[in-house]
Formats: sequence, C-alpha cells, structure tokens
Amino acid sequence: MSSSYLIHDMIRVCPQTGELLEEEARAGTLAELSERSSELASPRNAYVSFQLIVKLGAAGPSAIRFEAEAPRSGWDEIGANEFAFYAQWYHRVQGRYYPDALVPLDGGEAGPRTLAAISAANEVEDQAYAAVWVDLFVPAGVGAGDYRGAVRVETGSGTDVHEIRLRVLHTAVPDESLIVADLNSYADNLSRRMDSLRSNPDRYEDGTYFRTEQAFFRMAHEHRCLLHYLPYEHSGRIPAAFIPELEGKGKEMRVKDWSVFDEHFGPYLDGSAFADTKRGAIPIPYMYLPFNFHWPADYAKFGTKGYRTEFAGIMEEFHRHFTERGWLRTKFELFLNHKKRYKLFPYDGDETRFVWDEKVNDIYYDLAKDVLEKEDGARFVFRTDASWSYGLHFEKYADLIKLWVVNHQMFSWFPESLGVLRGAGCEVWTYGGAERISRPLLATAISPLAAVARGVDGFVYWENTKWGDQWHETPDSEGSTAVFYPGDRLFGLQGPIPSIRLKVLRNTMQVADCMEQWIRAQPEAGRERMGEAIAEAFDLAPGAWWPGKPNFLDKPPYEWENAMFSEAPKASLHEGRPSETLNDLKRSLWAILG
Amino acid sequence: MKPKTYSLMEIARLGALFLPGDSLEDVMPPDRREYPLKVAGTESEFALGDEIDFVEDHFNALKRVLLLTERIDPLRRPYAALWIRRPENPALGEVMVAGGALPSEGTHIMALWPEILRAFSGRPTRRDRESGQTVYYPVRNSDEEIVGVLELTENVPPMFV
Repeated sequence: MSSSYLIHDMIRVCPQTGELLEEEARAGTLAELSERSSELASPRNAYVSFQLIVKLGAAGPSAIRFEAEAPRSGWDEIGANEFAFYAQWYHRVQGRYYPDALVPLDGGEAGPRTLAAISAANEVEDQAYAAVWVDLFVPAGVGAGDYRGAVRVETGSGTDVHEIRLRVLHTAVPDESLIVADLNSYADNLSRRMDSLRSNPDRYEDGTYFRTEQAFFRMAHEHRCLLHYLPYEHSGRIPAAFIPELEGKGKEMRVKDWSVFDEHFGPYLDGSAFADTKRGAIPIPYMYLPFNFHWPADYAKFGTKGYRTEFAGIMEEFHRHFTERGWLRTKFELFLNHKKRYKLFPYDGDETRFVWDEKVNDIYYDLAKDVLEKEDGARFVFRTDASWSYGLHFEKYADLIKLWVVNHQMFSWFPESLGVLRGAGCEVWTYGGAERISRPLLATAISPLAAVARGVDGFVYWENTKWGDQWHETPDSEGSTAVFYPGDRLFGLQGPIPSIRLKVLRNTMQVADCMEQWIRAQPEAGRERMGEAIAEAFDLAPGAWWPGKPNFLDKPPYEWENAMFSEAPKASLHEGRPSETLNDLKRSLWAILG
Repeated sequence: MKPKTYSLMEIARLGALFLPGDSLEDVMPPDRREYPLKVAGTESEFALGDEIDFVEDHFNALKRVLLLTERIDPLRRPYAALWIRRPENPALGEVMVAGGALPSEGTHIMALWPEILRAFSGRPTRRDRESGQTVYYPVRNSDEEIVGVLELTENVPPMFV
C-alpha cells in the first residue's frame, strides 16, 4: 500500500490527520485527490507545481528521500535539474496547522535543510504527514508534446514511484510579465526584520545589505512579481544607501556622489541582478523615486522659491543621470506616500480623503513637470494611490497623473473610469493585500485573473515583508502582510524563502500572462473571450467584477463613515467555489491557446 | 567661527519663543478637534487616523519652527514635536505636529506621564532616558495660556513609520 501521494498544487493537507484543508475542495480525501492529480499540463517557459504528501512511518521523516527522473517525450527531455523540492513548514493559524513557508531542501542526507531537520525544527504536534512542494520548470526550448517522468519517494518502508504525465503546450509564457504583480514594502524594513541585517551595523557598507536585498528582488522576479520598496519613511527620512549624496543648499544644491546609489540600484535597472533567473536579465519595470515632501527640498522652505529650486534641480539631475546610464526600460515614480495621521505633514499625499488635499497633486506636478513632460530619455511618471477620492479625481487628474494605483473595492465601483484613464494614456493597478493563510488558496488566484478580466495593468499587495518575529509559529496578520519569510534565523539562508501563496500567485500569473499575450494578438474580442473563460470556470455572472455603486457617492468622501463600507458593493469572485476551479480554467484556457 | 553649543533645554526655550501657540490651538479645523468621537465604537485600525485633518497654514507654520529648532545647535541632532492634551479627556494627550521625526511613543492618543504633565503645568522638565535625553517645554498662546508642550529628544530612536 502506498504511503505517499502526489497531488496538485491548489489544496493543502493537514499534517496531523491528512485531511484536506481547503474546505471547498471537490475531492474528499487525500487518496481521491491523488487519483485526480496525475495529469499535468504546462505552457513552455513556465513552472508547473505539485505536492508530495508522505505518511510518516516509525522512522519519521529521516527515512524519506526524493529522486526525480527527467521527463521525456519521444524526442525531447526536461532535465532532472529542473525539479526543485521544498519542505512545507507548518504554522499555527486559527487553531489548525497550515503549511505556508517553503524551505528549499538541500538534497543531502545531513545538514540544516533535510526534511528530517526541517520537521524537527517545525515541532508539529502529533505529526503524521510531511509534505513537499515541487516546482518543475518547463524550459522555453523544449518541444510541445506528452512527456513521461517520475518521482521516487523512499519512505523507509519501501519506495513509491509516482509517474508524471506532463503535456507541454505550444504556448510559451513571455519572459516579461504583461501584468504587474507588485509586492510593496517600505525601506528599510528588511534591515529591521532580518536578524542577520539587524545585528550588522555595517550592512550598507560591507555589501551584506545589497546582497540580501537582491535575493528578495530575485525571488520576486522569479515568481513573476516586482518587489517595490518605498525608500523613504513618512517623515521623509531616507537611509543613505538609498539616495545619492547631496551637497549645498538652494541654488547650490547638487548631487555630489552617485556611487552608492548606482551600486545599490544599478543591477535592478540594467537587469544584471536577474541574470541567473529563468526570466533572465530584465530590468525592473517600475521603481519608486526617493522624492518626497522633505527630500531633496527642505520642508522648512515649503511654499518658497527655494523649495522649488531644490526639488526641481535635483530631479533634473536624476533624469540626466538615469538617461546617461541607459536606464530606459524602467518607469520611475514620483509618489507622495505621506499621511496626515502621522502628524508629520498637513496633507494626505496618499489616499486623499479631504478634497482640499488634492492641491498637492498640482503643487508637486508643477515642481516636477519639466522632467515629467520630457519625451526623451529616462521615463519619470507621477503616481497616485487613490481610494476615497478616486471617483472625484480620475477625470480631473488624468492628464497629470499617469500611474493610478486604486483600492480594489473602490475601483470596482467606477468601471467608467478605465476608459477615461486609458484615453489619457494612464496605467491602472488595483491594490489590496495578500490573502490570509487560512483563506482558500483559490483566493490568491483572483487578483491576476481580475486584472485580465477588467483590463487593468497590474495589482499591488500593500505589504509583503511584515512576517513578524514569530512567523515560524504564527505569522503577523495570518500572513496577509508577507509572501516571503526570512531564511537566515532558522535555515542559514541570507535571503528569503517563499510561501505557498507566492507559488500560487506565480502559477496564476503564468496563466494571466498567457491570457494577456493572447488578448494582445486579437485585440478586437480577445479580452471578452478571456473574461468569458474566467466567468465560466468560476460560475460567475457576466461582469461580476463590476458590482455596482454604493448609495453614498453623493456625499463628499470625508463624510463617509466606516460602517457604510460593510454594506457597499464588493466583487466576490471565488467565495464558495471549489479549490479546483483554477485547474478547470487552465484546462479550458489551454484548449483555446494550444 | 567655532559653533556654540547649547543644552537641550536652552534649545527648547529658544524654539518655544518662536512657536505660535494660537496656531497650535487651531491646528485642526473646529469640526475635527474631537475627531476620536467620530469613530467611537469602530474596530478598524485605520478609522481613527482617517478622521484627522489640519489647517495647513497653521500646521506649516508650526512645522517650520520645529524643523528650524532642531538645527539651532549644529553639533546636536535632536528631533522636535508638539504635544497637546485631548480636549475631550485632558488626562490623555497626543503628538499633534512633529518635526523631523516622530517621538518614540508614537502618534496614538495615550495617557500622559509625569514628566510631560509637569511641563503642561508650566514647568520645563528634563527626562533622562536609557540612551538619551528628552526635554519638555511649555508652549503658550497669545493669552499666555499653556496650549501644548514642545518635546526635544536626542539619542532615542524615533518611531519608525
């Protein structure tokens, strides 16, 4: 009798009982799920994921070994080195164990990252099952067709052989994402949240910080996401390694030294930081500028000609330098994140609620317009993050603000806004947060699919590195503020380890990128056809992602009350749907795309 | 010329001379001064902050003096903030305007502590802290009433946000 199971990637399993943790799953048991999981299909240049669940015998996890056999077709092979194995780490959430962190297995029989060592560190009470997440990368260069391979699982009581039947499609996922999956965070939280950085006062000078940060950027990139790291605090303060050194004041203010800035950001902007990833050396598509209410211009001069001189002069230097360095594939964002709740400034630059604060859009556009309006060289854009006042602003500021990042619920109330912003050449992302660990994995698939269905350019998770000091037990906010975890304290890795939710996000981004690629090849009706495919798989009414307007839009946003939101329309795209719905969508999509 | 150094208390005294207390009294529009009452009973962690609004001219006048006060002694790197007592409950207080950084206590409404209460009663007060020092200095309006307290702190990590 088999003591291990190969299952697909959308259902998690309880380590104590082997029960399925996704309550909406169609499959009822692990054995039933395993029977339904043997067929895999993948585009080329993409990862396909599955899980191995092993019932622990008397010897526990120490007896378990994995070995992959290269999948072969009649004429081609996917190398065994394209498999990557991760031990699933269990967290205590809402009284249950859920797997989320994924620890890369080092393949040896000893060391800190064997399944036995990881399980011992995890200390799951009454553990009866161990689980391994497997990524198999299907290279762009292999031929389409049916492949056969296997994964052998030694369990101590014998060896299970799980055949892998993989259909490789003609379709290939593009290296460059056509939708931005934006993982936001705030500098320099990595230094506060990674033990190894926190304890190193020389981290910015000795190269440690840059190497560690690059590991986060690379992991995001490899998962078809963009790490977006706001360089300044609400006060306007910026760590020295995130800005060029300035000298002088007023008319004499200028950049004295770009060297640290270039060392820090150059590899992201020329793409070299990503040279060893599957997607290749693609420069990051967007990056925050450090400009804010109190840098480079001194806020003590706010409203004076000297404030303008300092702000505009340094922005001009940034543009010149970026252009000379050839950083032409990234859009550099002027974004004002300040919030008056912190009592540092009297305006909300972010999520304007009180309509009179909108004047900062006019003030800062005017300060930056010489650069924002340049048609040559590096591309600088004005960005806003909008919620309360979005309905009042999308027409008014469409000519000044070219990147709109909009609260996902409030955006859904204004379908008419998309045409207005598109007409003005703007890009639109929605923002929300990562899903809580206790939520179904299917929930994580929604943001990329909603982006395709609605025709927006991207989506943002507002915070992604706030795992909390006790993440290994229970992550902060049940994981909704982190899709990575730190690898240093427990596993000796100077960088992040991924989460299951990040893997699901990547796998759905592959789907979304294939859809978007197809839509661009048939602009007439492509989006409508893809929207129909999503609606059919999710059993949604047409246009379910536009749920209508609330009845309080006739009041100014500063009169809206919190209680109103609980009654306000909200798109509910996955509630109650089986976890296998994403697989249903993939099947119908692959039939269309081939 | 060799820069002259000042005690933190002397810097606070100089700063308080230039702080317009009337602007601190009126730094919020009248309908927002008791903003916590607007969201009483709400559980959202963001709701209270969403109710905060300022009179920009008053805020900016105070902020400018705070930023400049921090620079009076070029050999020191203090940060400055203005505290008020809550009108609906004077046992509580909060930072209302911050200079270059936020006090380590944060921005929430909180119970006031003995040293700052002493300053609210009119007596400049020094508070030695584990790694640094804070001074609290009364701020008066044009009627010579105490309407706030100026904090100057050195060598204590500010609140990160």
